Amino acid sequence: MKVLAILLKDARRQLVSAFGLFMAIAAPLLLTGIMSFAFGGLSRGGKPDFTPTRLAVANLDGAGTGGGPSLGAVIVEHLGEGQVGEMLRLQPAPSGAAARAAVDRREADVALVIGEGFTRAVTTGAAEAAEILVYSDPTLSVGPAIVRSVVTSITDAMVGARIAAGLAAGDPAAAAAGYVRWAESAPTVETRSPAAGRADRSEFTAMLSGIMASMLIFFVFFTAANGAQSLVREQEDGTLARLATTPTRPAAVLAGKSLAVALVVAVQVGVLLAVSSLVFGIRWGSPPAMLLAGAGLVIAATGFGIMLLSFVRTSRHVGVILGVGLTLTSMFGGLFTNFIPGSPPALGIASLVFPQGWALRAWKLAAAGATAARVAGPVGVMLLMGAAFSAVGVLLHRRRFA
Amino acid sequence: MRLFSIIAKDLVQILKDWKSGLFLLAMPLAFTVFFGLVVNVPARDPRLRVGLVDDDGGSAVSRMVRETLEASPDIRLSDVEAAAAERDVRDGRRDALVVIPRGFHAAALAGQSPRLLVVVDTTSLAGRAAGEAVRTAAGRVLGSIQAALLAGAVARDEAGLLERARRALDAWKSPGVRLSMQTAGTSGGGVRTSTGFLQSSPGMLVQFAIYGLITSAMLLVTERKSRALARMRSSPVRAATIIGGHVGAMFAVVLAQQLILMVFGQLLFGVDYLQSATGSLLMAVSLGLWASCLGLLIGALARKEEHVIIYVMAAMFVFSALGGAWFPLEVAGRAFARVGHVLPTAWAMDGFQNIVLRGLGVGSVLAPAGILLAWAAAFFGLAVWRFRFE
Repeated sequence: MKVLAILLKDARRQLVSAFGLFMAIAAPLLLTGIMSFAFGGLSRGGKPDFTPTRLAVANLDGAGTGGGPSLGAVIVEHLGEGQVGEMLRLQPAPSGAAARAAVDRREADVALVIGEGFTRAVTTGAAEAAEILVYSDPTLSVGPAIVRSVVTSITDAMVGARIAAGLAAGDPAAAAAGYVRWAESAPTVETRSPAAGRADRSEFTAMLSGIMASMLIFFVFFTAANGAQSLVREQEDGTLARLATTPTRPAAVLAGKSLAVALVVAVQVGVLLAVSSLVFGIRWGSPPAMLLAGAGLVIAATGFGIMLLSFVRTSRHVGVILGVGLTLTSMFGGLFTNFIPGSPPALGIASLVFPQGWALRAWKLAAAGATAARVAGPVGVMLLMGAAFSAVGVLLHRRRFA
Repeated sequence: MRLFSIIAKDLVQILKDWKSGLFLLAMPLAFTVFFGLVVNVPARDPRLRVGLVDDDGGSAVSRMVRETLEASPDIRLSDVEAAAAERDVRDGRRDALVVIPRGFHAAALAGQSPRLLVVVDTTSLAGRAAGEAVRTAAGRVLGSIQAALLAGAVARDEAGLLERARRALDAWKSPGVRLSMQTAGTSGGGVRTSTGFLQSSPGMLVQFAIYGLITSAMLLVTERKSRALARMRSSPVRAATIIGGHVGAMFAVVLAQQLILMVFGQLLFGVDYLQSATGSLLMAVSLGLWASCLGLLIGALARKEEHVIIYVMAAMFVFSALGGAWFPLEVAGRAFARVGHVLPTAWAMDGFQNIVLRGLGVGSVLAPAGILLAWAAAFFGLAVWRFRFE
């Protein structure tokens, strides 16, 4: 009964704290919401929705041999058409220097300079190659990549047509025209994203579930550690000493407080899963897998929080322990880089040391549709770690009762 | 004199607490190093990691595909097992997986336009680059076969067709066109992009200018709760002096923080703030003024210490993410980028990146600094309106 009374008292105190509620519920949802806003609009109706790239174009190419069409003008025309035209905003420039200056003055994002003699070089295969320069703002990567990709595909078609004409024994012009028709109509690759593990998940939802998993784990660990500081506060307030004069055993006090932390984070996990499902459309996996992952997270976070705060002597050090301890373990546990493509493999190995790393593995498996049996592995590690942390924490906290 | 006394008193209180050094300097440095290294790990081999699965049994056409991919200076090709390689792409350990489907050789020689399957993570720059490199190689191989067919070769004379296709593919070694990429701000040409420390150093400068307000804004709330502010009002010290003193201390702390972080960035991370020392200083001063007015506003609105932490954290999340401190706004959607550019933090990032990335001078930071000062004035006005001494 005493354990229950302590549990309810501590849990109520945590649940009515504005700061506690902000960090437990509002902050993770706010961060995920920001990321959803940032990347959710990247695709509308199947079309990319990036900010159009301002492209300054200087076409220095003259006409072809015999007064034929300028291939440089053909490139410029293609850049203004169709889906490509929607991603680019063309600005003609009188010279290469003027185009580059527009980028330097930030009036354009990318400058495209088609060199003199481009048509002649492409159609005759001149020994001296014609130059095409893509000059860009160094803070940009998407726009320059789009321009490079489009220009490469157009020039490849032109060069291919010349090569086809060169091979043809009969009608070179027909061969070149046939090549261009083929290049414009026949895709050579079929692109798809790697399997996210679930057919009902879009690439965006998969990314968002990774972000939300990181936020869930980070703020659950924070809430657990924040709740565990009640022992430190009660020691400073003198109420722990008064409790020690009563028949209530220290073990009951520790048990009540630990269970209060576990109860609060369990409620937090439930609320975050429910709200993220409703608001962001994230599917967290089968109920057994979710329950397992949730139980592992609650046990690991509770044990870690109790152990972390057991090293604290006074409440003045709580902020440091919470801030630095949780930040470093979350960083190396992979929570801040979970959604950054191409993170170094060493970070993946380092994350095996931290409970946050195992929690992330469990939740990513669950969200990808893994069975409870597959999730059980990382959850087992989390339960072991949680038990070990709790044991250390309880041993160290007992000195507060001395 | 009283103004400087209040500033000095606040500074002593902040700096006496060793935790201030941790939150003002150690944490931003740790984040700068961490994100700088994670986003731009120096690689022994910078080429794109592409895995190849040949389901066409090593046919002549699939060998042409392999050779063309291997010859690309951008690609590091290796033979892989499909399922494991696809997981590698999903987890970021590989940039692309290329699958040559069964029957590719026969379909290509029959002029049926077969396609390579390319598995990439299109949310990553490396994935998109790998996809483009594979598309280029595929186009040249299939284009060479198409050129041979258009030249009159026939599928039943497979040897003759392949010989012409090889000649066409060889002709690609001298295409007659050279595409070169350059970025502004690099002397002598070359490419430089906003990755690694060039993003994380100014980004953490901006983020932790806000985070560092916790200690100084907390002072205001503590003085209000202890009625020290009310007692000061009953003395000959004017209200403007009291407010100015607290803002002055916040400004001094944020400015010192930024200057120290810029020194670390310059010396350790290769971020050239000294490219325009005056410009960098102007940005630091204007960001410091904006942050200190934000701190005053938070101190004015917060009734308890825990409210300070909530308001600072919320402001940090919103201003940093929307302002491009965490990732370039270019990679986000159009609406997000538009909203972000209304905020002062986006202009702060612009100003710093004008110097360290674009190599521009003090003239390029006048507009960003002006906007930061306008926001500072707005926050200051709001804070003074809402400020209560008890």
